[in-house]
Amino acid sequence: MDFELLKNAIADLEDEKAYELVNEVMADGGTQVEAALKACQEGMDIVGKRFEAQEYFVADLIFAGEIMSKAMEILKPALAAKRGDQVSSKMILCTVEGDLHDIGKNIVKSILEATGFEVLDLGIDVPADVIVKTAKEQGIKIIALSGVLTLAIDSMKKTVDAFAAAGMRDSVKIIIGGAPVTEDICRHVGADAWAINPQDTAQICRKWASGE
Amino acid sequence: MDTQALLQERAQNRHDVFNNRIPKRVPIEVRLPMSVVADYAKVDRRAAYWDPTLLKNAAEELCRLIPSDTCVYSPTVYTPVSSQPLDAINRMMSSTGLMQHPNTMCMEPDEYDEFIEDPYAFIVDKCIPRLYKALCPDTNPGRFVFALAEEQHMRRLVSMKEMAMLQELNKKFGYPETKRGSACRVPMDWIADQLRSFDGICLDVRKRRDKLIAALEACYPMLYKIGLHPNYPNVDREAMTSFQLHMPSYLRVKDFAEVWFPTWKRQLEDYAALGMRCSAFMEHNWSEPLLDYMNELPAGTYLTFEATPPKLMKEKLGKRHVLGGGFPLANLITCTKQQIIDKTKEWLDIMMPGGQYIFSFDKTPLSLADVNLENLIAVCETVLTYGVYSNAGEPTGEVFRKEDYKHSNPPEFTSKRYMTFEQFREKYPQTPDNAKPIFESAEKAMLALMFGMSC
Repeated sequence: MDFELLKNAIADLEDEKAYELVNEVMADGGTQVEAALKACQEGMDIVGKRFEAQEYFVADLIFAGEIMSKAMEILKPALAAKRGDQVSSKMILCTVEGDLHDIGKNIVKSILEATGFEVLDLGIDVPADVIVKTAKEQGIKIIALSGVLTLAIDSMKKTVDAFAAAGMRDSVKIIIGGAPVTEDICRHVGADAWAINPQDTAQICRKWASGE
Repeated sequence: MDTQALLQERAQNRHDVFNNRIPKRVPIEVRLPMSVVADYAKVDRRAAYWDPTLLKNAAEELCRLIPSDTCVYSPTVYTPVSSQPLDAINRMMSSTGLMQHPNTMCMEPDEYDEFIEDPYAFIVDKCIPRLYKALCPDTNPGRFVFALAEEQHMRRLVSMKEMAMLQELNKKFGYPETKRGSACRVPMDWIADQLRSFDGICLDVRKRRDKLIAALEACYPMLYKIGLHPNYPNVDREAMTSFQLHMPSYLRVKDFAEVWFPTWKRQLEDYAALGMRCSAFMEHNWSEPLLDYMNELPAGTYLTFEATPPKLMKEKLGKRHVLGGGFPLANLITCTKQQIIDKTKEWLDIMMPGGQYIFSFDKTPLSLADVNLENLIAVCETVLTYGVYSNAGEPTGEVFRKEDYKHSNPPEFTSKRYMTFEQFREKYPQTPDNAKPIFESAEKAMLALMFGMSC
């Protein structure tokens, strides 16, 4: 199989083509599933770059997220068989306390999962103490906080401060994203990184997971 | 300056901005919603929703402190008084007591044909019951009969007190009454917001494009009617039909141009042909190609913006339209006092020249934590003193002329759920002619109510 075709189908948002190709991969039980996954991830990287270059827009990311989720669903049985007991990097993702929005969070989630993360989605309106408790109990070191409303900034700051109060600040990495987030806000909140492009979020989290 | 003189100055300034004249100074529109005032007053937001007059003293104090040309206290858009008695899924309260609208869907992807056949009937029969569980016999047996009447009763009680408080504040601090027009939605934004949801419409624009375009055409007569000036044909161009523009910056330019824009442009041109003016909030960051399309809109449209760079807004749209918004609210919490004074002056240097500009923030704060009060006062005081024009009274901007616009004569709005007086009288032949205005006013009010509940 020419995996360039799959990569390009994902990158060009050709959903039917992408599903046809991943179904082809699974025809023999998915012996080449890792190569298929890599092609999908490379396709999503291209989507991210096109979003950054303003060729693609948020609506395209949503479409890409759906294509990727469906493709992963088709490949899942073979992936699970290949990975066996191999542990994926686990991370927390949520919308912070006071904010009920989840569109951006869900886009990022599908991209993070496609990247190979096991994403523990805590949902929306999540208080700081719940995030800290979950991270502590499950030994999770990467935290991604999302928010759309201006009040999310205060909640993000409270979350960062809560990790500090728990003596965990130096052992976790926190990334923030969403409409009100800027570099100034990141500094104000005390997060380690910020991103508005979901691919950037995935890249930063990948670096952290590999110890960079 | 005494209160009456202040009121007149404010009204005149605003009038000049909207009538192609340089005003004496830049008008300041700074408003703090009920949730922020509640935080300031240290009153539980939850209690304030049900009795905004708990905030009267705090609202007065803020009006005194913050030099705005509009009442600093602003009623809340979403309230549990309305949503909770109706068991709404589209307006919910967060754990911190703030009402929001989560991403909601009440129209399935395979329901486009039904919507196209009769959009209003689809809203009444399918969307409203899906959005408001208290209005369904299945989920609210017995009580569904009076749920809406009960909600309207509660809302009236709260609103009466709040309006009385606002009128008192207006009188005390010299704020001119806000001229109210109709509230409407761009057809595609309306279908997006709660019917198909944000992610639903993003997929529809690619996968069900023809159906979506047909749906926009089908609902046009209804939305046209809803957005008409409340006192038409007596049109006051300062009482504008308002729109919140949600989808454009999230779409490809091609999808904006082919799908989103055409019905809205038609709507604005139809209103312009009647002498009306519209206002629109341009959510998020609009790219240059999108801004070029906005110059096709009728002259004098009032555009408030969020994240689009101010130089680009002013350069592209400042001559043809009235601009507002854009000044980053986040500056209040990230800047020192001197920094924010400097930033305000830099901002005014860009936005002021040529008039047709009203100062306001890019977004509305939602909690007191979004606002550093000292900085907010500094911003307003800077606009007050630095935003003075040396050429007040000079003509400016493109002049609006009704004759420049051709009305498209959309089909009359009809629906199996919208009864005409003639249909009513067919059922009740003894109904006299003098019942007609009352009956028609009620049908129109229900149309506006159902529409508002689906936005």
